[in-house]
Amino acid sequence: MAVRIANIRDTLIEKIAYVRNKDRKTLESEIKAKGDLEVDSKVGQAVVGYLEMALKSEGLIRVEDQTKENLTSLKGLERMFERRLQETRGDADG
Amino acid sequence: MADLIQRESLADAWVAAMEFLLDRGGKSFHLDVAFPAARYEPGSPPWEVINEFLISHDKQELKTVVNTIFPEDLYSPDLGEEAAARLYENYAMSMRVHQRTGRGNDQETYFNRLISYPVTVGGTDGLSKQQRELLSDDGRFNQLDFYIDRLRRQRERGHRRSSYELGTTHFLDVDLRIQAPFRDKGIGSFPCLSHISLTLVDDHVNLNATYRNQFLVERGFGNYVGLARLTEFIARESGANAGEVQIVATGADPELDNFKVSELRRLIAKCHESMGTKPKAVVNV
Repeated sequence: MAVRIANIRDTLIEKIAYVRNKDRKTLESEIKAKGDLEVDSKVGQAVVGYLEMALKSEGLIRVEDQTKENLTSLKGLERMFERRLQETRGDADG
Repeated sequence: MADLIQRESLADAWVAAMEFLLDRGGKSFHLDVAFPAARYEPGSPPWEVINEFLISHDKQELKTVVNTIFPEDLYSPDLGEEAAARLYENYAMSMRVHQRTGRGNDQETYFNRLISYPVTVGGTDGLSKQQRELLSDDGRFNQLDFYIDRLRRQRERGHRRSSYELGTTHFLDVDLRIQAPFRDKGIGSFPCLSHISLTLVDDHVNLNATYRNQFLVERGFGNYVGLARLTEFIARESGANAGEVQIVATGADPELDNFKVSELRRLIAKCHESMGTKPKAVVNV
């Protein structure tokens, strides 16, 4: 069963910081300035892998989710995870 | 007959190769292109011109092509001795997700073959205990890590000149192999890049890449950038300098089946404009 993480956005920033070897504050400044954080699609895929591992939920993100829109920004990654996690919770609740 | 194109920059080399193929009227064989590894910064001209052309034709973006050979955004040289290991870890994590997107060799990338070569396809019976210890639990071999370590040790011992050549010797003793016998069986499918040889000369790492077939428009520029960045990575991690990149395309294809000659000529003219250069006569040696 998937581990629940209270704040997906925070955890995503933490994983992006790890992959890009950037200080979290630097990333947050970038988010504040631009309204979002753009990442390379390979960074996006790595972050998905790390977060799925943290959630103990490998395979949560499906083939059809792996679009440029979903993988290349913090907002895209967050939306994608929230949607899939919502479905998982729905399945578990139902 | 083979054709050699040598230029002082990666961008000049690609433009010259395209001009050469267009002047010749199509495909060529044994096209040999050489340029210094260290003088092109991704994103600088004519990157945008080529990228816009590819996107307008529904082709993969340049960055995607470059990433198949060297995923630069996953590498942080600032990490020092841990930088390479972090790159491998990040890439392995990305591949767990990437490999959901395809079947068979559609899942593969060149960089993955460099750090996770499928040794066990042919079995491990012929391997020594020492060789088996180089493999991961699932029988994969990190060639890059192995050869960077070897280059580093070679430099420390003062052997500044050596080459790793593909021959009939065992894969663990030779160079960076992409093509995997038995696994890569499809004609015209992955991998187009067959293998990479490294040569350490005067403390510079030089890289030779051999393509079975190379699509110069869809992939060529991205291939050149990826190989240059890979050379820089290997040089940095082994403590040496980046030298020359040489790319031999046993089949070189300007893709006239997919693009009109007139639009490719316009593309090359725009590249020249962005680079501040003029079309030159191609030098054949």
